[in-house]
Amino acid sequence: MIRFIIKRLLTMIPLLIGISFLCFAILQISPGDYVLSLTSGDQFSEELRRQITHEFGLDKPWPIQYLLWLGNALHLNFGMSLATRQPVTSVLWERMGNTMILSLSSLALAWGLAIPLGILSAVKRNTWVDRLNSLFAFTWISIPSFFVALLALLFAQRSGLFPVGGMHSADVDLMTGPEQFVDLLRHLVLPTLVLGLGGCAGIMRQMRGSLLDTLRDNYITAARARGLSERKVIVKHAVRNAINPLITIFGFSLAGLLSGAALVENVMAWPGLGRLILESVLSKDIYMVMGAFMLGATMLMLGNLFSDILLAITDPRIRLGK
Amino acid sequence: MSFQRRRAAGRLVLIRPSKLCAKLALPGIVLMMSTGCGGNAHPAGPDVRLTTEDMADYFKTKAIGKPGGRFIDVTYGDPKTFNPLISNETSSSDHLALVFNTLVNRNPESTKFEPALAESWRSSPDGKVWTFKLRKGVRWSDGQPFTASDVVFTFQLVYDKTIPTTARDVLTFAGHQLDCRQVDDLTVEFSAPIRLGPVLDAMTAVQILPKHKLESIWKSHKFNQAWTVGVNPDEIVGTGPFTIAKYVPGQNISFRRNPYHWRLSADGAQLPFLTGGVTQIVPDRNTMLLRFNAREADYLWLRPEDWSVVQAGESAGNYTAQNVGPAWGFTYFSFNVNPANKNIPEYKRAWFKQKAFRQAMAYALDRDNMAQTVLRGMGRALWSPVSVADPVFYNKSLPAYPHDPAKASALLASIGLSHRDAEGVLTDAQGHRAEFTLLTNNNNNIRLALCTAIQENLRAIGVKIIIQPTDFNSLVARLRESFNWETMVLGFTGGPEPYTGRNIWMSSGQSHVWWPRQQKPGTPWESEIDAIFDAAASEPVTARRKTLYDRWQAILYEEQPLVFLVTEDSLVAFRNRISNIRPNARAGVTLPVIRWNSYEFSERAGAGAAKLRP
Repeated sequence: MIRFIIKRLLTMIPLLIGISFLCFAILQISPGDYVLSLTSGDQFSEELRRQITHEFGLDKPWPIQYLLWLGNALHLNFGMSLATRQPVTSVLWERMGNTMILSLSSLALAWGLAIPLGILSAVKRNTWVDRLNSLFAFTWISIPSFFVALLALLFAQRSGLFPVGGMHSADVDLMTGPEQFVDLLRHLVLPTLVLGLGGCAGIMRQMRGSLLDTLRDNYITAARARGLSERKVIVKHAVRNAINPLITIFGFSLAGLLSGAALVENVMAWPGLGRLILESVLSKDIYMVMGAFMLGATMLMLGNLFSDILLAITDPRIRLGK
Repeated sequence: MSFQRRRAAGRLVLIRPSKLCAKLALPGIVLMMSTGCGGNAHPAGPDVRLTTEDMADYFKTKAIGKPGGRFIDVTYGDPKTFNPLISNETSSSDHLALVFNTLVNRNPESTKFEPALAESWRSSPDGKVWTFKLRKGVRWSDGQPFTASDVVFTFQLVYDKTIPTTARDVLTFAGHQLDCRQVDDLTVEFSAPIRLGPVLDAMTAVQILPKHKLESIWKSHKFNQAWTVGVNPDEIVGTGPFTIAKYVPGQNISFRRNPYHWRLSADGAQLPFLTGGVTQIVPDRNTMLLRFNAREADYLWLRPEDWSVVQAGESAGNYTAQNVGPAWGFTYFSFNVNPANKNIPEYKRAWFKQKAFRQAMAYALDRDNMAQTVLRGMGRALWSPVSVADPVFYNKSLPAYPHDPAKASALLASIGLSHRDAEGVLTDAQGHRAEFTLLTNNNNNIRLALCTAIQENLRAIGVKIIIQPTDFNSLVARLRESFNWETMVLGFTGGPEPYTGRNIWMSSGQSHVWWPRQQKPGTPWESEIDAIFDAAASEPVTARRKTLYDRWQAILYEEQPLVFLVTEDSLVAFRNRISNIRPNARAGVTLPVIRWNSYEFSERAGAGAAKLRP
């Protein structure tokens, strides 16, 4: 097992280098650069533009820029954000916690709801319970999340029950510690619902489908024929086998922990990584974007590794490293 | 330096927070940490009281109010830097305008210059030397005295070629930089080998920085990394009404009253009235509006589409919605005549080069209709780059460009565009079709709607327009580097002094839209405009500059290198909770539109208190 993990971790390195090359190339091939986007105003002289371009090293050919970046990145120095002249890692670090809070709460809500509802739907297939669940799922899948976010904020403003976006109130500096915590929870409710319910719908359908497949298998019929209680058949035998594909999905959703939900974060003014990445991509703050992409790619690979390990634990047929 | 030390040692008394909270009456300045006495968790700064003698030379405003309270507002994006010289966009400069001051202010209400850090100024008879007398008794927010050495230091930074600042270009007059010299502790002298023109206007662009905080950083070549948004805000020392208390990325910036600010209220109390403020960062316009409606913001600016809804809620919501009129900015429709653009067929460039073609475009457009539909009546038609809001330089003798499609068709016929093909598009004798691509940025709905209006107006006279909404970065790349475009709709922010727009109007300028960075002027009228701006650089008398700028506007009116479209009114809404809010669209160049006079803001008792704690 440990050998397997080490091997997987080592293979991540060339993979990350490949990903970084692709990302860098795409960023550079698309037109414009950070300094150019500043110069749309009338007061930005050509001389000043050349000066800043040179200062940031953007005047070198891009393969050279990439090699310089890669050399630094291998020493875990991800460079400086062009927009704020701060180290990329410190800017990412500031936002990481905020994104983590929101993704963990919405992930918990999504999975906590989706698994039981999915099982219920599969067991009560084609009854009104199943249909109601399906209606719920398809509604959430088909409405774009940023629109739901806007509706949620409208609800917050009209009802006055929740704050209109953000992570803290403007007067948070006047609050005591426990008050600040309650303030955070109040701000967390709506974005969690928007992201959590949106995520829940898809997972629920997966769970339902997977369990339905399993319930058709012969060994389930055999278990029932042997007089096992329906509860035991479902929980101990069917669900345990049906959950395999969901564990893979779970690994992928772990990758999303640190990539953030740009659109919802934008609408709900949540100070997360998604918003930061979106702003950086739009302004072509390339080192910031590269840093964020590398973080995202690493999380994706770690999430995958984690789900492989989970699979090995839940499914005795899978043996790692062989 | 010895002066500073003597002053600091003799007059400044610092009292550490005493456990007994004993009040000590001492001559001069008494500094007490209010938080040290417990009970008051307010994030206000140290409680400094200046004596009347200290404030003898301070600037008396007409503001009436009472001390206390905070402003709570919203902004679109995170600040990128707290270094005023490096800042390039309003998301940074809007905040720094509260923290720093310039030598001279342009009062947005009168549009006249008024003293700020400089108390008075005069120029030598030959106009080559300008002397500024600084205000006595001004202190930085850390209590250090402000002197002429700070001004000289700031100008050393401005002219330091290793610092990427747009101020350097603003402070260069017909190629000459200013020589800045300290005469005594409170007098600075600027000189140049030529007679200096719009010096005062240029001074409104330079915020004075503290030498005692930045000199060692600059000398160690780290100025460009100084005062990033990650810095400890206590390091950012200014003379403005507020200082930055805290910045939480993606969430908010909080401000604290500067206890040493140099402005006084009508009854001689030190300003600002408010103890601070919080600016929340809300990246979505709809969310901003919802937050204002939820009473979580005191004021915000509005889009034309928000106006009717917000105005309808005025009395119920206890706020004021106000159209503060046109600002300095303008949108234009232009044609590429740059020979560096190899992708455009020669016959099209030949059309663009003809005055008759450009005038035809100007006559074909229904600008009033654009203002009515696209801007929903919240804006007006334009035919000059100088804003109608400008009481000085706007050339009133130029009549409105009428919407006259018949005249447009006649003008096009005069250059050989008279036949229509099967599709109804005009063609010349060789069968070349009058069909052009129109570029604009895809994230500006108003510009996209203007493009559609242009498309319809021109279709009526047989000119086909293909709109190409383009990502902003690639648009700028095409405008600045490849010059690969045919026609374009974009805008400039403009300003009260046309000379600051010389990069657009002079043929050598990098923003000379239709053909930037020309070696020598391509046409006689461009060369006349070049001469006008060179003359304005050394013309200090406003009336004579007006004569120059009147001629410049007349040339643009005749030649139409840019067909001006519309200007948007600035729309704002503000809660009645805070008094003395007087939004002014004309503040918008160097100062924020709503909080340009934040030092006068005062909390009104019982007028719809904010939901948040004051």
